[in-house]
Formats: sequence, C-alpha cells, structure tokens
Amino acid sequence: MTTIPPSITYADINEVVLRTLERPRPAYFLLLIGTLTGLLIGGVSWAIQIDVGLGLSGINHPIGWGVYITNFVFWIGIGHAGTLISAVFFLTRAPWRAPVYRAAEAMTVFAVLTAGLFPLLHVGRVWLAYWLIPYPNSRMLWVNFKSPLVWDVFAVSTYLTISVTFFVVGLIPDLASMRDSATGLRKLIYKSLSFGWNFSYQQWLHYARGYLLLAAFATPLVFSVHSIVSWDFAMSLLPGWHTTIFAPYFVAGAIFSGLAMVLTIVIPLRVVFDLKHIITDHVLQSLARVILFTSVIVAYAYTAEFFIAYYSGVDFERSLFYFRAFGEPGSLAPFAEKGKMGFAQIAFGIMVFCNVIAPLPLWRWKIRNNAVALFFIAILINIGMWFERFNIIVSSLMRDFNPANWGQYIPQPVEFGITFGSFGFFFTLFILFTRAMPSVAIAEVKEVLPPPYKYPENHHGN
Amino acid sequence: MAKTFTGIWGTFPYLDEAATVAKKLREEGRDYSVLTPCPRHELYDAMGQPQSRLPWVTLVFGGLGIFFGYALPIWTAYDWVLPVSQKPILGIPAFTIFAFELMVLLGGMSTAVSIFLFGHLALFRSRLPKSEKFKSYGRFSNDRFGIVVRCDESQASAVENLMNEHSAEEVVREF
Repeated sequence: MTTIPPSITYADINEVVLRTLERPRPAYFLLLIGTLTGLLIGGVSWAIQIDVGLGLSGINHPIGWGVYITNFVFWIGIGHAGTLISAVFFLTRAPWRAPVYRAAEAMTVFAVLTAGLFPLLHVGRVWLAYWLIPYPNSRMLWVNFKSPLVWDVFAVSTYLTISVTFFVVGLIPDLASMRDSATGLRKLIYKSLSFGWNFSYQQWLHYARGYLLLAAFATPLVFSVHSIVSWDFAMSLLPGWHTTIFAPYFVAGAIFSGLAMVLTIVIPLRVVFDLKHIITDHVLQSLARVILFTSVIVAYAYTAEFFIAYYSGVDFERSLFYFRAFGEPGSLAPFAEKGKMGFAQIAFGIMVFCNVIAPLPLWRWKIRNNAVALFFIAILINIGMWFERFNIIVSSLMRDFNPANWGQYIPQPVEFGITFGSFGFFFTLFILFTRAMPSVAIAEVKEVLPPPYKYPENHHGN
Repeated sequence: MAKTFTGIWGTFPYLDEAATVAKKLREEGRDYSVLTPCPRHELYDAMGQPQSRLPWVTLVFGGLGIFFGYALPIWTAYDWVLPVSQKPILGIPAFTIFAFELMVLLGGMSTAVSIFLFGHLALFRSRLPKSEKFKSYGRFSNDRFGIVVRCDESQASAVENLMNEHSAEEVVREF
C-alpha cells in the first residue's frame, strides 16, 4: 500500500521537491541564525576548554566519563533511526519509508558526524586524537585489539563511512533530476555531482542490486554499532554496567531516540516545505507505532535491570540501583546526604518520565494522528534519552565497589556550552542540507507511486 | 568523424506501453536500451530479467575484509606477545568484530564504486545518442520512459512503426 494519494503523479514529485530548493522564506534564515548561534557557543566553549584544559569540565576522578561521552552515545543512537529507515525498512518493503528516508539518512550522517566530535573533545588534547587510530607507535606496539574502545573506533568509523556511502548513492539519481531542471551554476554543480547518471536501465540494474547489497550490509551494521558502543560499558566490571542486557537495550534505545529525532525534524520540514501530501499523516503514524514499540522495550529493559540487580543478590548491584533511583541507600549514606536527591537521581526521574510515561499517549490513534502532539512527545523522548545515557554513564562511575572511591559529578558550564553547540552543529548541517539537496527521495517515492498506465485495469496491485 | 550511435529513440508517457515495446524488441533480438525515472519491475520483466554481476565484486571485497579483519589483530598479537594472566594470545571472538566491520566496510565501498563503474561500462557497449536533442531531453528524469534502439537505416521504419503503435509521444531518427 502506498501512503501517498494516487492522484500524485511522477511530475508532481519532481515539482514539489524542486520547490524546496527555491529561494527560502525569511524564517529559514532566522532558523539558520539560531542554529549558527548555538554552534558558535559550542565552538567558543571548546576553544576555552582547549586553552584552560579539561579541568574546566566537571570530569575528575572517579567520574572520567561525563557529559561528553553521554553526548557521544546519544548522537550515535540518534543516527540509528536513519539507517533503520533506509536499510531495514527497505529490506522489509515498508512503503511508508520512502518519503522520509532521505531526511532520516541525512540525519544519520549529521548525527554520526556530531558524535564523532565527542571522542576528540573528551580526550582534551585534541591534537593527539590520532592515537585512537590503530597504527604502531615508535616502539612498534599496536593498539589493544581486545579493547572495546578499539572495537568502537572501527565500528563508528565503518558506520560513518557506510552511512555516507548509502546517503550519496541514494542521492545521485535525484541530483541528476535536479540537473535536468536546473540552470546556470546550479546545473553545473548538480551535473558534476550526478556522475553522468542518465536513467538508463543499464545503470538502474546495477544500482538496484547494489542498493540492495548496501542495505543488507547496513542492517546488521546498525545493530552491531550500538551493541559495540554498549560494550564500552558492559565489558567492564562496574556495577550497573556489567550486564548482558546492554546490547539489545542500547539498540532499542537508539532506535527509540532516533525515530523521535526523525519526527522532530520531519514534522517542521513538511510544514515549511508544504510536503503534507507526500509526508502524509500515515507516515507519521507509522513512525509513532515503531516509537511506541521501542518505548515498551526500553521500559522493559529499565524494569529488568532493577529486577536482576535485586534477584542477583549482589550487594553492590542492589546498592547501585537503589542509588540511581533514590540516592544514598540507608545506612551507607552519611547523615547529611540521607534522603538527598542529587543530579543523578533527577536524571533518573527525567529519564523514566520522558521515556516510559510520555510515550504512553501514543497508544491512542488520535494522538498518533496529531502532528503537534507527536512533535512534543518526540522532543520529550529526545530529552529523556539524553538523560538515560547520562544516568547510565555517570551513576555507575559515582558508586563503584569501594566507598573510598566514590565521588560526585556536576556538569560545568563549558560542558553545557559544548552540548548546546553539538545541537547547533547538527541542526545547522541539516538546515543547510534542506536548501542544497532534495530532502525527499524523488526516485524512491516514484517507486511506491502507481505508475502511469495506459491500461490500468490490466495492472491491479501494482 | 564516425558517429558512435546510429538508430532511433522514442519517448513514452505510459509504462505498460514502453514495457510492451521493450518486450517485442527483445523478442525480435534487437539491440536496445530503456530509460526510466525509477526502476520498475514491468520493464525488468520485459527486458528478460537481466542479471548484474555486481554481487561478485561485493563477495570478493567482503571476503578480503574478513581476511584482513582477522589477519591484522592476529599478526599484531604475535608480533609483540603480551601475555595477560591466563588469557589466550589470540582472542578470536574479539577479533571477529574487526572481521565483521572490515567486511562491511570493504564490501560496502566496493559495491558503491561498482554501481557507477558497471553502469558506465555497460554504456560503452550499449551507446546512447549523443545528439543535443537527446541530451537536452530532460523528462526521463521526470515522468517519461524512453527506448533507444541501435540499428541501421534499413530497420528504422519497422522500429518506428512499433513505437508509434504503442503510444510513443515522440520518435526521433539519428543516422
């Protein structure tokens, strides 16, 4: 079933998408100024941190991973929905994916680029970040290939490369469409970017097969990347981290947050560019259904974590999970700390509210059919998932096995500045993309439309 | 200078009619190409379901990725042996992650490059018109289907008639 009204023709698709590339309204520039301001704040914060040193952040022993690694995991997770939509739903032949696939794939590329900044930020001395790359040092010692951190370098760089490749391959026929209708400098640019695409079946034949193979590669990749990110934590022995549930839990959370971000960008996109008859309510509802499904998995994972901590009988696990939710457990708490909620517990509360309670209205069809409600729920989920990453990372580091090694962590202004900047970076890239490239996949949308038949009565079901 | 293309090309507003022409041209054993705004199974069936050899490239490079993914960490493990407690020097399960990642990386990159390489190589064998009229016809990317037949002038009338019988919008001879 196609989700687009059958009255829409192939020519309409070209016309609508071309319109998105025309001179934008003043609101576009206002939005761009807003995101550039965010980017500037982030850039200045990073410059100050480089100048003063990593001590300016709240990161200190024992909390060596704070907001920067939270942001890294958050943005990698955001990227997952794009690949899910472009690869997994392509293989499962979900027709509603076509109108949002391009925006989602662009979101993936920009989210992974944003995530890639954080290991650089986190190392402090960014000019030495190349030490992460596997190459032998001056004593011919290689990196430790048994370390999850090195797995992560390979996983994230492969994911970025394949996402960019998938994105570019999908763009080329559409850039050729743009080339055929553009004039002047734009025509020249689109011509050079479309690699001589001429719409002959000799090209489509290899394209269709290659695209299928790329989707087949990207599908296990999307599940593997966040599993490997989760093993950065799960392979350690720390209470709250050392658990087998982490890989599926992280993957479900990534899809959950990523799809929420897809809604966050697609709902304004369809309003600004008047794409409601292509990105239909049915598309938004389908996205909402997957969000609902993954929210149930995430809620189950939260519950399972607590149950396993209790059922294991391990004091360290029990104590850590009590601390995550309620603060210092009973007799362990110093008198002044008893019953006191810190930043970690507030993060836990926000996480539960935004990821478990806020998506519940999506069970109602009326809410799923209301773009404004979906937009606000999506924003809440984005917030909740950021706090989920924060909660997992920070609370475990605050309370390890040895009370003498416990500590506190309060994020500092420079960390908030850089986090704000990362959103500025992501949205600036996306806003520029909508202006320069077709944000709806022309050829893919045509594939799910009823084609022009002279004798349509002979082609039922096509 | 010798022309690289001689033949006839037509444009079609309807997919089913273009597919019928393609099917008849195939049955007549003619050398032809089809142009379409998006891949359609009707055209694919009419052309006799041609197969791409691209998956072989993916298989070879994916296999190379697996090989290097295991070979690099195994070689480095033996190049400078660092025994840690009773752990094995070769951590094959850990190294499988590199094998998987490099399989995806090399397989995916080679597939992407091959999509365009194979498409352009195929066009060397089956040339399209070079005329300004063909090059400036921008509707194959929009809402029209095209069929290009490589033939000599003696066969042109038969092909032209076939196209016209099936609602060709425009038929152009290039000799």
